Amino acid sequence: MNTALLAANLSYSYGDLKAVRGISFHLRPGEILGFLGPNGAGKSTTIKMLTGLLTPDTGSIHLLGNEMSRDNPEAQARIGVCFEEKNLYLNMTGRENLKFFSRLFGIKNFDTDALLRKVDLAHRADDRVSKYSKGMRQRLMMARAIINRPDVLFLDEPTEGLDPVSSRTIRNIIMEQAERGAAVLLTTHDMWEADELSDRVAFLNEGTLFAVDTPDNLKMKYGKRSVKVRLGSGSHVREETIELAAADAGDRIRELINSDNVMTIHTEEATLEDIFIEITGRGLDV
Amino acid sequence: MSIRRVWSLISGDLRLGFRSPIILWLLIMPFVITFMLQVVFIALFDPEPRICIYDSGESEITMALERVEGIRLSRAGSPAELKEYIENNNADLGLVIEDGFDQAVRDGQKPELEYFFSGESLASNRIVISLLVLDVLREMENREAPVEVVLQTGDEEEAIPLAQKLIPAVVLIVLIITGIFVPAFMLVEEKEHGTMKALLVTPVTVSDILFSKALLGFAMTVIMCFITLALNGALSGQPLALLATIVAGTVVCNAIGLIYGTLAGNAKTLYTLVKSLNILLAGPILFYLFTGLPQWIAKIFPTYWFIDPLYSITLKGADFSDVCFKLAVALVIGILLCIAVVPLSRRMQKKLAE
Repeated sequence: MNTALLAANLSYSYGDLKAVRGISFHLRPGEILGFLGPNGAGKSTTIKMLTGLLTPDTGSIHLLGNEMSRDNPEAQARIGVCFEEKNLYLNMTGRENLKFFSRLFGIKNFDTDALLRKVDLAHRADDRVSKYSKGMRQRLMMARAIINRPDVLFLDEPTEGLDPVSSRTIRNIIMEQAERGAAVLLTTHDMWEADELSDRVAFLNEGTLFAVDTPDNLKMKYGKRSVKVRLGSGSHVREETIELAAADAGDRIRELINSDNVMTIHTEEATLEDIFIEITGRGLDV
Repeated sequence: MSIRRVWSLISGDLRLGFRSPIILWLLIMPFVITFMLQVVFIALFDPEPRICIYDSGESEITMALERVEGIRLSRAGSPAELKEYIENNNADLGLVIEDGFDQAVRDGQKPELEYFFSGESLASNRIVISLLVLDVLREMENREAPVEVVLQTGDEEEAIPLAQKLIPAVVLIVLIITGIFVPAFMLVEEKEHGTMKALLVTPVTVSDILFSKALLGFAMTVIMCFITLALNGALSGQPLALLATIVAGTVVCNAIGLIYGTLAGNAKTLYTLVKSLNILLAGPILFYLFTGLPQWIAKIFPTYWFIDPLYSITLKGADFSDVCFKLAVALVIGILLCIAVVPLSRRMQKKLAE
């Protein structure tokens, strides 16, 4: 199996608090894995372990075949990280920030302007970051994360609290990076975003990984397969739910359509949040 | 550790440093402290004797006094101007030398020489200038001194003027503030702004970061110390010994700065550490200002082992061989402190990630 990232039996505790409890998963090149979980589920701790900031209490991490550990410049040269907290050099300009980090990666002839254009910051390239808005800072963080064309990209809540335009820019970049072949690990508690972007999603709650699968498989497995038909006759409106697994489902739908009373038909597909609640017994917005 | 990464970090810090008010203050500090030293200790407590002369001819007295070091001589355009000058206390003593005064002295006519003293002048300055003038007059008459004066100073330490005694203290202040504060402040800033976390997920290692901060602090401190010594006229004829002393001192201070920087999580904690512990580091200065105190106590302070050589070189003319043992001790202290940084940096990295 072609694996970009392989995490096996990862655990981490903050004193007595077990933040991550023996989780294992893998990530393939070009794949986006959405890490879904409420606050305190262990998403950020997992990213810190995967990026070498924290040493796991147990388990191992292999990044493109090499063991990932703290102070491993070779491994860290191949990753890109965008943290939830804005950690840019505020007294540097956007351009200076990117140039500084490109030098740390040893990139020669780095095209700062192209990257700034990509994140829609070219017009503010020479302004100090302290004058940037929240969305601009996040876009610059995203640009910084992809400065080295990483093989594995870690994104911790990259669109949290952003305006729709900034969020869309960031989502486009995520898709672009995956198309380029980068493996992307995205933590979020926005189930819509995870559904839209992720090839697979992982449900994390209280440090335990409950499920890792494609959104479609999860919906198939845990969601209701039914359609809701709204019928109207004069002032009388009624709804009928038809289970798709039922033997006569097709006949019943045909019958209703032919009755001329159908106002609307909706599929009753479960959302990732519904499935998360069903699996973990807990909501995502906690 | 990679030299390229360290250099990249230093170039980033240099760019940021010149935009930081604290770093800019550290750069101008030697000038400010020297100015304060000159004004407070030299101009107020240890002023040079000042003489003002109205010389209508070209008297040898004037020319002889112009050659004397350690006094300030000014000329008045008329006797009235000289009087006004003295009344305003712009000079301690004024002399009116009429044309032909020198010839009258040589002819043995015993001409009158009028002194004008400023009421506010120090008695010591009056005596110094009076004796100087009398000495010049005696030479003009071609008379030998009736006695040979042999200068004997009492305690060698006491013979050094206070302003000069303070020069090592000023250098120590620069060493402590720049040497400790630059690496500590830069580390704490990286932590406070979260940028250290951003650095640690690049190929940059903690060692790269610590070394770059220490190296920048080292370069800035050595330069600032030499500027301070030059401004205070204390660059002795022992450049090697002086360089070795400042290097040893900077190593100790940079290591202390790294310890502060790794321990403090934010600027507030750093300032508390600096305010509470730097006073202890400056302890040896007391033993130079108050020589009656038991000197062995000074040796307890790590800073003693480079401040004493600095004192000996700048004020007593000691050379490298006189101070090499103490400098070796200072270097050993510096190395031990650097070793202590290793576990502290691991602790810092863990705390930072959590």
